[in-house]
Amino acid sequence: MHDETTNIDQTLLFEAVLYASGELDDSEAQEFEGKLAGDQVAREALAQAVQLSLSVTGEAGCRPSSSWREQARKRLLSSCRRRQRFFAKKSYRGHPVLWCAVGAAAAALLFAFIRPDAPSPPATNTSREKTTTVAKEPAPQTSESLDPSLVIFSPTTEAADYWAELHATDHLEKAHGEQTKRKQRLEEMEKAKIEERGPRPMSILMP
Amino acid sequence: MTEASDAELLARFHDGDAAALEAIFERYERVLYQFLLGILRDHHAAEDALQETFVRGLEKLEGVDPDHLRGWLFTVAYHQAMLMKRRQKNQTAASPLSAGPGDQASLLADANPGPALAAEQKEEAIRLRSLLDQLPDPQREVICRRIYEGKRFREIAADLDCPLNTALARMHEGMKRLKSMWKQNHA
Repeated sequence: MHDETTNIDQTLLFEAVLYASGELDDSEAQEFEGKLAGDQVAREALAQAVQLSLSVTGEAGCRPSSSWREQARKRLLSSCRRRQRFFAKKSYRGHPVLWCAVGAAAAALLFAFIRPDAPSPPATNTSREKTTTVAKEPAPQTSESLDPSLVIFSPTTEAADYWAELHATDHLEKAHGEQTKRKQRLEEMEKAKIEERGPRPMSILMP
Repeated sequence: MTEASDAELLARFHDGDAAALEAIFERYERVLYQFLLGILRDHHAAEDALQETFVRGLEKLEGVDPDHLRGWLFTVAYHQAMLMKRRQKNQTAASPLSAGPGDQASLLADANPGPALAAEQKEEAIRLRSLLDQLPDPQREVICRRIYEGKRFREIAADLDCPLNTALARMHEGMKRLKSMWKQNHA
């Protein structure tokens, strides 16, 4: 299963043998290294060529010392534990996007319930039937009887009306003008009264 | 018992299973080491590159198909080896690659094997010599000239007055025979 060294082209194997033993000139060696960059068969061929060379020198069983394993194990397992701890914390805290969504939903609910001019909940069919039978009058057009698209936009138009009223200054100017006229009239009346009474004695004003 | 697939071993390793990591090491250690040795021609450098290959290869597995772990590790090993080779070239003007032709076989061998390993290697060499005598002449000629005289394949081909590929083919065939004889002797 893991031994993929069986079907290696002999020419490639020989090339690998020459490369491993340093018998290729620079350009040939570079060309072979180019093959090693992307060709798995060439890589397998080189591994096999080295095994062949080691067999020749009686080192077929040659393995690296165990020290590398110890260090690699330590590094890999510690990074593995770090990753596990990181993901554990993440799952406990939850994803920030999730919390944003929860916050937005809560805000939307709050807005829907607290809004002072929120339309009253739609009447049930039975209550509506009762009103129609008692009053026998054409019911005023409510938001439910309007076109659905208008219903959706009704809060927006109401808000716009309030806004327009707040910003309209005509009625304020009119009221201000009336108040000033009234003041002038009162002042004139007071002057006329004083003229009728004549000048006030000084003793009253001065001790 | 069936052997666990690479995907299974990787999944277990991600769960922190050290035994799965050992199994991955065991599966790919030798072949990757040989590959790295082929490029770097130095045991210590190959060992360092092997460690980096496993660490980097197994840490950065995002987007890698677990069933193609072998190819992925070879890719990482190649890049690691090339990186080390460039560093070697920059650090030392006198690279081991520039050694004489007679030193090629010894470049692949460990320069300082431990006493136990040295004794074992010596014993193996003696056994190998006795097996060599059982090979057909053309194959034995090539192998002996290569091992004991340290000649290049081109030189051997010139000596035997045959094409280079013929010398290589004789070497290859001879090695296959030697291997099977070795297995029979050690069975």
